[in-house]
Amino acid sequence: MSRHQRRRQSLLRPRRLAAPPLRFFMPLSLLACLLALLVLRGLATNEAFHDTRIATSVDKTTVPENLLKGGPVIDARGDKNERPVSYRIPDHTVVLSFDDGPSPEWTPKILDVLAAHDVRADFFVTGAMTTRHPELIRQIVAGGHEIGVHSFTHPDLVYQSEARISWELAQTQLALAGVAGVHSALFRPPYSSDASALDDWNYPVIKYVGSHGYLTAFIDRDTHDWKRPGVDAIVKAAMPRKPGAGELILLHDAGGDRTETLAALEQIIVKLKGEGYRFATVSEALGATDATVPVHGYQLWAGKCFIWASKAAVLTLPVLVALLAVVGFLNFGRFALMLVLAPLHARRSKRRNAWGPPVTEPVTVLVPAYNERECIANTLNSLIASDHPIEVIVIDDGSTDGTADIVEEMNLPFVRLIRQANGGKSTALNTGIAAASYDIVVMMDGDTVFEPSTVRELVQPFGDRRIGAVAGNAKVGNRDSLIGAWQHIEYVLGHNLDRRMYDMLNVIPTIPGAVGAFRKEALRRVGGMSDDTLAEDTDITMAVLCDGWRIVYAERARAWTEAPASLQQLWSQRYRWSYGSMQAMWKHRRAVTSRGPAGRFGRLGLPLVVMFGVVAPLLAPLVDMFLLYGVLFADAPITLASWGGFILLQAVLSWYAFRLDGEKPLHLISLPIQQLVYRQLMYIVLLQSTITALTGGRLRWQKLRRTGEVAAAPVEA
Amino acid sequence: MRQVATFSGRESVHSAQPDVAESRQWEPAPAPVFVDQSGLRSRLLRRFGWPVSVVGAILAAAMGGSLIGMQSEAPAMEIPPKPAYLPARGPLTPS
Repeated sequence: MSRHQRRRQSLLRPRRLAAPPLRFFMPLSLLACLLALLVLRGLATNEAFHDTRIATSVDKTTVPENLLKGGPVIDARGDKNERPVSYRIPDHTVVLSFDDGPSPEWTPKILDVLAAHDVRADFFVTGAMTTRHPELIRQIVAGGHEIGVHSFTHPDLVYQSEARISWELAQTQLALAGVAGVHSALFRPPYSSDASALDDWNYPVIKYVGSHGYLTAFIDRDTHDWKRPGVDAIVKAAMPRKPGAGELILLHDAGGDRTETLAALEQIIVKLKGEGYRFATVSEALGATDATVPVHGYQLWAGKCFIWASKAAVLTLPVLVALLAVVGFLNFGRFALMLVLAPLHARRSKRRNAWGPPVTEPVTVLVPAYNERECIANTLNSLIASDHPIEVIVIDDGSTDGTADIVEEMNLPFVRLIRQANGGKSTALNTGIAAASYDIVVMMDGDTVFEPSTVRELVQPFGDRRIGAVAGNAKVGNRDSLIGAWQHIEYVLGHNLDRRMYDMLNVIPTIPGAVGAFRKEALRRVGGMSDDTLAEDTDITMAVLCDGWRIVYAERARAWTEAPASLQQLWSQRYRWSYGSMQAMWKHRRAVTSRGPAGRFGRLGLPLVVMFGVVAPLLAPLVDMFLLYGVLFADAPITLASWGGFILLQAVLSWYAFRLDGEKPLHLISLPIQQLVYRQLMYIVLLQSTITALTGGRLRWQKLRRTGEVAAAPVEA
Repeated sequence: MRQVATFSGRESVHSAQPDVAESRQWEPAPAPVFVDQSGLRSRLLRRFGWPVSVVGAILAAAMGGSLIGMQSEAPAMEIPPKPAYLPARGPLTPS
């Protein structure tokens, strides 16, 4: 798909930078929103920053004796930070505590039991669960219970940095402020048990948390209810070691089936009340002021916004996943179509005389040239070697670099030179078509080199009367640079394998300007080349298809073209291609509702091109967002593994495409980097040209339509 | 969007006088596909695009900011010194 005509002005002129870059600002700000939403959703579902490592206890050399033998509540706040003290629960007092909640299924039932017995308890909640179930926190607070912070993502804090611990605390307080308008002064580390389990690793955590003003509440009695040991075992574990001793009991209201906990809770309350115990919260038991304190002002509103955004994030995720599924479906669908249709095409092209009697009649080769000083001699020399009888017409489109003079000097007997004032490639081709002596017209670019057999291979399908045009196989000549290698991969996989697929469906949307052949009859019927669009090759191909002609792909008709060697050139070439292709699709949109062959193209080919060529690349940034989120915030190994799997699949497909094309697979080495740089460049280009199409702006190289007064008559040399 | 007229330049291909044919065929032709000569579409999209982008950027910044976790200090909670080492003996009026 090489389209030529390097225009006067480079795309990246300073003027573009001076204008407010809304076209970059808008996608970037929307993508930033998207990423933030993904992270918020990941936090609410405890997927982001998730860490399941649990430390095993080590030495206790640094832990003061009084803490190890003391009560469950440790105060390392303020001036006590150097020498923390611990508090016991007073005798005949029991504090019930529920960890890891709230859970929409079990917390309400536990609250009902507590309310029935007029008991108030402590709930050590995680920020993630709080964010997901705001109404439960409100119910807990409304019931007069106490809230404690149990970290946001429930990691073992022993493994976390101080910054992370501080973040876990702050984020949980933010969530609590957002849902219930409170902050809590109580803390319980995840995976903790009683104070005697303090060790050299978790003691610093307690001190650090204390320095932030938190009172750490461990436990006296661990019921192990999360292991579901049976109701009796839970009740037994909750009973005090010595009758009458005060105790802080650990139960769980989330993390699985809590039927046993619920049944045991009823019995624990009844039994302990029978033994004369009073039920209290941690602050009541210590005679302290409330642990849950209302917040106002900025803290309150920041929390509310956090909860709203998280809610929105959780709601939008299904939409994003659906869009992601569309991308996946399109990509894998395309792969599957290729894998089914390309082998069929390869088998067909192996058959000799697949198109009837060999075509031996001479053909006309059109070479439109605009400032092709460096290449034109090579192009014409390659045509000298052609093993098919040809007549060559070079149409010099008002070159200013002496291209025409070079052609004239070469003085080749079979070459005719037509000079015309600069009028664009389609005008040049129309001039050439008008001057062509033969019924079959081959079109090539002034920077393209043919093999001796290219023309012969290209015109053989015309043995079939129904075939109106043939697409050749454009190859990247300069493939030794990285950017050349990427384009090489893209040409072999993206263009040639695609074209085999489209050929089998008889909907080839583009005959590359670098190498293609048309029946003059077909060109005449559709009115020749048009300059309605920047992609005159796509435009004419669609027009010929709509006229009912068959178009096939002759992969042995190879043409070597020089691909853009700099990113800037590549950008401007692709900008023109994507914009031009969209113009052509839009121009032929009526085909969708047409009858006959145009309708067939409109209802099969056009949707395929729009889906694979526009929708999939426009949604591609979403894939990268999920990739970024997965690597940075969620499970990096799994994300990278699935991405690697996708690359591998693509590598296998590319390898197959390379084999079909008889190419050495060496260049596939750069495929992973191509997926990280080139793919993004391609979709950014497509996005930019889509924006240009929407705003209706004129591309700089898209000249005003000529009115005719400057079109001088072609001069035959 | 503009009307799509199929290219009407059949004559130009076979015309003996391409220049005449061209001037005849180009003059009534509409603007190229997608191009909006009036600039109205561009202005509309710009008017719509700027607020959307600015709101998007503010939202992204706010959401990003809410993830940094700045306020990690606990509220004050007073514990009377008495029960610290010597818990009260006996039942405290069981409820």
